[in-house]
Amino acid sequence: MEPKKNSAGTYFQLVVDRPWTIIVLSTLLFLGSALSLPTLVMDTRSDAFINENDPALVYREKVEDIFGLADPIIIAVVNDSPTGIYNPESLRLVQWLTEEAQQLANVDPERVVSLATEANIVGTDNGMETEDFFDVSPDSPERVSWMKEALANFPLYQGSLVARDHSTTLIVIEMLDEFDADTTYNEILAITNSAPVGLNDTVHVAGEGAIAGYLSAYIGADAQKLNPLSAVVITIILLVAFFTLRGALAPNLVVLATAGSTFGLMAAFGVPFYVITNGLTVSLIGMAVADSIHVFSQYYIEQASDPAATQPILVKRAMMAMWLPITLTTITTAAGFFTLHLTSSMPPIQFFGIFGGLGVILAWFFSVTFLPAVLSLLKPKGSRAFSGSTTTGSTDQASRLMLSLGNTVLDHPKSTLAFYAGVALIATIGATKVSVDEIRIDNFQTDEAIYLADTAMNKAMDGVYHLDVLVETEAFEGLHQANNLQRIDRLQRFLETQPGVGGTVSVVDYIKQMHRAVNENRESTYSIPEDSLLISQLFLLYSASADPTDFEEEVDGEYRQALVRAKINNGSYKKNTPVVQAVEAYLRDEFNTPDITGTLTGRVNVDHYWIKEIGGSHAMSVGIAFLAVMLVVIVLFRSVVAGLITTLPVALAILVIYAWMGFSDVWLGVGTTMFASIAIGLCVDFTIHTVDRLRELVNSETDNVKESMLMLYPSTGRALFFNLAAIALGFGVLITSDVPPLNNFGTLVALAVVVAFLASLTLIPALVYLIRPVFIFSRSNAEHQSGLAAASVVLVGTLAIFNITDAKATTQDTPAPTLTGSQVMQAVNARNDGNQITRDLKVVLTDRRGKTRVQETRGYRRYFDQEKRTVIFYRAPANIRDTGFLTYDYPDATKDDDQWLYLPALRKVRRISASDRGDYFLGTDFTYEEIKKENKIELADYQLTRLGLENVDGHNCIVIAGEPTTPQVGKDLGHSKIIWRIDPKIWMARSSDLWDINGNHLKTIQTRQIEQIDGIWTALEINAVNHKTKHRSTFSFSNVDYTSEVPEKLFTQSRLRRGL
Amino acid sequence: MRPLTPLLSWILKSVVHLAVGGIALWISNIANAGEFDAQAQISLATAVERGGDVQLGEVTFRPRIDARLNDSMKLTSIALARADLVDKLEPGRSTNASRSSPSSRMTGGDRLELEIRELFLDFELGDSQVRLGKQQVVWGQADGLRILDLVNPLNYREFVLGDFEDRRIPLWMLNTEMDIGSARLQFLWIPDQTYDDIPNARATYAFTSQAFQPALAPGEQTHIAQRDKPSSLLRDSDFGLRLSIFTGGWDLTANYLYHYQDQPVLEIDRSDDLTTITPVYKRTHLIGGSASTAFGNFVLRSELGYSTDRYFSSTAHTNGTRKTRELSGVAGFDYSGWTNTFVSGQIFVGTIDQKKGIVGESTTLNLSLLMQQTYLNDSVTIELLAIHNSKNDDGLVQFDLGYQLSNNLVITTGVDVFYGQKTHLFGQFDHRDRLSLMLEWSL
Repeated sequence: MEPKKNSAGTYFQLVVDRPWTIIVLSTLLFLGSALSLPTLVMDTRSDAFINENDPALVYREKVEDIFGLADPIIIAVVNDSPTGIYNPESLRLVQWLTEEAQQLANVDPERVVSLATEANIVGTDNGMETEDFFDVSPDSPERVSWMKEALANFPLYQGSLVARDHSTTLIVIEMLDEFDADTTYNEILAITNSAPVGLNDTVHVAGEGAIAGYLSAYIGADAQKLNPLSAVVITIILLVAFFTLRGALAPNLVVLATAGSTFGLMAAFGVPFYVITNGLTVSLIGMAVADSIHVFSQYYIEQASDPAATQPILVKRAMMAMWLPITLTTITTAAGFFTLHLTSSMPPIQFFGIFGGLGVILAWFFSVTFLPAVLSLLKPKGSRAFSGSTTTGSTDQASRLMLSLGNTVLDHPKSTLAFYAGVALIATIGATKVSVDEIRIDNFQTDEAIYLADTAMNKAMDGVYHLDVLVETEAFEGLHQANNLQRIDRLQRFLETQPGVGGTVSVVDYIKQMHRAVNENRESTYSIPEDSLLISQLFLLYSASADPTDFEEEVDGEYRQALVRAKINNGSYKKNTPVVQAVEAYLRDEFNTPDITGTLTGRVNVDHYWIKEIGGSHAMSVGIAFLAVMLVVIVLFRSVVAGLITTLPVALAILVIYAWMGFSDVWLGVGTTMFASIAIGLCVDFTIHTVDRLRELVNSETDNVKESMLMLYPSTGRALFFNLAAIALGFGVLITSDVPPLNNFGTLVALAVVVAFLASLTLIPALVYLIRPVFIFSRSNAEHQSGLAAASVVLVGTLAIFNITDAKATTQDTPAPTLTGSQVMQAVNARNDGNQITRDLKVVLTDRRGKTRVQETRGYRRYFDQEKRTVIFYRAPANIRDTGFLTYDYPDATKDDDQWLYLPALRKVRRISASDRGDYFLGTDFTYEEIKKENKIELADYQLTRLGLENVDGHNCIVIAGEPTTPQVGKDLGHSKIIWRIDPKIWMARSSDLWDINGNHLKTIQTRQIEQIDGIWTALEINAVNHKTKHRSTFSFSNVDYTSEVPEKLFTQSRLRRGL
Repeated sequence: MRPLTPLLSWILKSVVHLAVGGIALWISNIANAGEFDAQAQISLATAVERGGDVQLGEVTFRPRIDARLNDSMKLTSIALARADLVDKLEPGRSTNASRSSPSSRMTGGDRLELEIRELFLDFELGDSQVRLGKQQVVWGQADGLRILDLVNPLNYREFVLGDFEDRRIPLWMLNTEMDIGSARLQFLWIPDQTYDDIPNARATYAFTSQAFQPALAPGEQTHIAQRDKPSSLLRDSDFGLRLSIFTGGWDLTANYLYHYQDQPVLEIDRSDDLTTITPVYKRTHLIGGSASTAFGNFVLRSELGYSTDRYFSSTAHTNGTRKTRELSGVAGFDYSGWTNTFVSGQIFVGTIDQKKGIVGESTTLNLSLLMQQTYLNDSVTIELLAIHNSKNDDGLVQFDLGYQLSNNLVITTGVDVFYGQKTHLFGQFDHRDRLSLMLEWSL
């Protein structure tokens, strides 16, 4: 019998009638989406996991700005001989490595710290002087001995620069741009490989910068291994399942289209490839193939039952039978992924959720378009695996295996339930043992050089992980006060008592060293002077004999703020949590007074705060994902019992996973926190397919319930078996990953789907057999269909509500603006730019390959009271000639501007939305907002902070940082931060830098030629460089005229239409 | 007035064209205040049908001259030379049957045609802006679907494919605009009796849909008479008025056009043994308006049009036609909340009040979806346009990919797919799905 005529029938008829059209359209969709793939960028920074508005991160960045800190790459020189590093060869190696590192492009020579850059503080007859350790080359044993003794008398450097056991010394290298960490890391590795290493010397490279740098390459290599392996595994499963070439190849094309489109869209939306995105590739491969397996299984069943049928009829029948279940499973799996976006605060996981869900939908799309279209072009051909099968399924080994499973379950339904009750009990016990932790270095295998280096450094030195306290005093030079320094000293002693803290550093250590130096190096004077005046003099003395910037990492120029750094020998959240809590309590109860305050910061603190969120958001994520799929099932089957029965195996699978984690000490961290939502989405596929099929079988064969239910096994059971094989082995491929968190992620998801599969085919049939639920034993097809629509509406509605809630929650984190920055920008906005202007503009657009496009325009602007009207007419080249842009910019910030674009190809003035302001203006690197505002800004859009002064092209400029007041404004404007360098003589930005909404450096705008025309400061050349696309735009203005009358009628749609 | 021969007409127009350009240049030089600018575009285009047949293989040359005579006077002229080597879209010599003599094309054999596309002078007269000459005037807010955009007729050589800019036939007219308070009034006087170019029966896109056929009995012997085309310069002129205003963030217009329908009505005369079909042009009043505004990332566009005298083929009337009134409306939403992406959806509804005997549908419901995406700083553009007639279940899907290879060179490739039954508007070209390629070079 032909399938019933309905919308789906009409659609699949169209597919088999016009396969080439469908193939071309779906291929174009794929190519269109995949076009942006080359622009995909990697972001392996650990900060990428933290919401950019997270207060802990914002504070840490502020502190880093004050003290000029950055996550460093650290080289350790280790010498295992009894003398340790105190031998000429090792010390020359330190000097050589330091000098080489200072010459690297992404390294600030001033921010390389090693024995070769530091100075000893010694007392002299005149007081004190500093002497560089490498002032005299350490070639002689005497000089080496001097250095050893000097360092032994310099507690500040003990454990931080040289190991207390003399075995190790560090070279700490800070980078200018942390996004280039991978290049710099590789350059440093190259330096260390060619270094003149002595007999007993070994060189290690580690540190947060190195981890970020190496992780990028490490993940790339891992992906290159995982993805082909995953494809091979899937292909083998498909070959085993169908014994046909088409059955093996066509689903692979669906996989390719899905993965290509998903990552292409990721690139198009400017979302980077994070550490965990590798997991998405494999997830997509596993999930994209699942729909194809069900379609092919049904196709072969149809073929075997009616060998005379033509190919289009077979394809249509297979699609008509399978479209509903695969649509349902797509909705539920996508729901699982989308809840990750809603419930996680970490951007990489949020994007994993969004693009995972999108990938599942794309897989479905290609499975109902491309797959049947391709299949309908082939000749009908059966599968050996299905020969002799009937409409109810195959009779091969897999089917027989499934059938015997069915017999066992339905013969012993009560025992089956009892078994699962036992499993649930044991799993609950295991689940209580799960704990939250994250150790970043554990992203690497334990035999990786970087892991070994990290271990070695943390063992020999005080520790390479930092917990910082920012101390702030009210008074100017408050840190010259002895009592304040003593308070800091006590804080350091407290910190040193904490587990894992190897040592501390602060400006107090320098003061003590100087105090001792001016007292003939007497050990007893290694203390803080009681006289504040003496402290001031010591600082003055130091600055007279050494570089005053030596302290810039410890204290600010006004001696108001100081950084106390505790060095910790591990990066474990779990181990460091008690330390963070203890220090917070100490600061609150013992340290803070109205005159001096200490605030916790540093990477360990930041990590503590965002990882703490994992536990809470994970529970919410699991709960919402679970509720979302249960809701879909309840609406779909119009039965609460159906919701409970269908989600029971899913709950069991998740519980077993927690048990596995609890028993095998796998912590809940970044890599593993995502598994549950995804597993819920995947697991429910098995249960939906099972329940859907049972409803059909039991309804149509009501005479003998057991016989009817047994038919589940050779048909759906078999398809689910191969579905399981594809997903479990697809995720199982992650077990071979070199990135341990992905290992765990793959294992957990694979295990979850195995449990869900088994429970679907045993627990559900046993339950159904025993309790005979109404929703299975009585139903109509119409309800089923309308249920789908209702389910989709409910799901989409639910997700939309959560999205709105999510957006509101984010908005509340906005910090308040500061006055000074605001005043500067008010002055910029108040700059006279003439009541009217006429000018010609030449636009030169240059792409990354140097290809240029030139456009010529004439523009007019005029103020009508406070309202600014601008019109631009394009004059060349011919293909855009007569294009015009008109804007009315209203003084009331709450009122949307009005904008029109005249497109000569349409001969129409087109109204454009003012919300497009972050979009790029007609292919340039300037946005509509920038074109309209002309070097001014909408004050209401930004919170402004004055950062200091900077010289730009010989002009002293005020540096102003602006951050969008709300994430929505940021999204509208297309950036998360701007730094303007405002020349106060002309109140114009001479240069500005912008960061995109993901925090990546987006573009730099430079104003090159500023002249006074008719008494008004005018920018005649403006350049914008997009750092992501390497595309640049140069705007050159000429024939600038502020005096000629600009008629009002120029600013009308009519004039836009008529042109110049 | 006796029409001039095409060759003489062409020579005269060429002389006028050159003379006006030359005078403009001369005046411009004398005044030393003007600007003279010449540009040209050359394009190569080809299209291949699904079955592999080449449908189009043409070279076009489009020179343009802009001469600013003084601050308020400007002359613009655009000419077109087209050689279609395949000659399937307008097989044989291009006809000027639906065109007035001053708007006719000059042909060189079957494959070459030359035309003055536009030639107009912009100047100010008191407070009015005047554009006098051959030109295009576009009304309305809808894309692709026409309700108010009826001022210029269309050339259907590629049916609805290709840019409106190229399909619209410019007309000789007087176009004046003036401000009335904060509103703006446009007045059009169009003495040019040029109507739609409908491809002949051998053409690739010949109309076969029943809606375009006379209402005949099966096997009826017919004779097609010469079309009855209006010819009086004044009496048969079209007139238009448009009042537009921008207020409260809304762009509003009220439109009125007294015009001849651009497609002829097929009147049947059965008084003799042989049935005579005469294509006749009929007049109508078009009254309507448009409104558009932006809110957030959305732009709403809408227009409404009411025609008093529309004619359709009818089986219930002895002369084979039925006069009726027609009301049409369109509402469209544009969304631009995604970077570099533009999405626009439209719904178009049309209905007539007399339905008895009408051939074809008495109500129309068309839906359209446009998606545009740009990459690499607008040098790559992808566009997907789908138009679906939900009454007839037919429609058109177009996909275009454009790449600006250099400052002056653009390459565009596209796929056009029709679907639906052969008796319907889009479905009649179901077998004409095509893949096209175009290179456009600006000089």
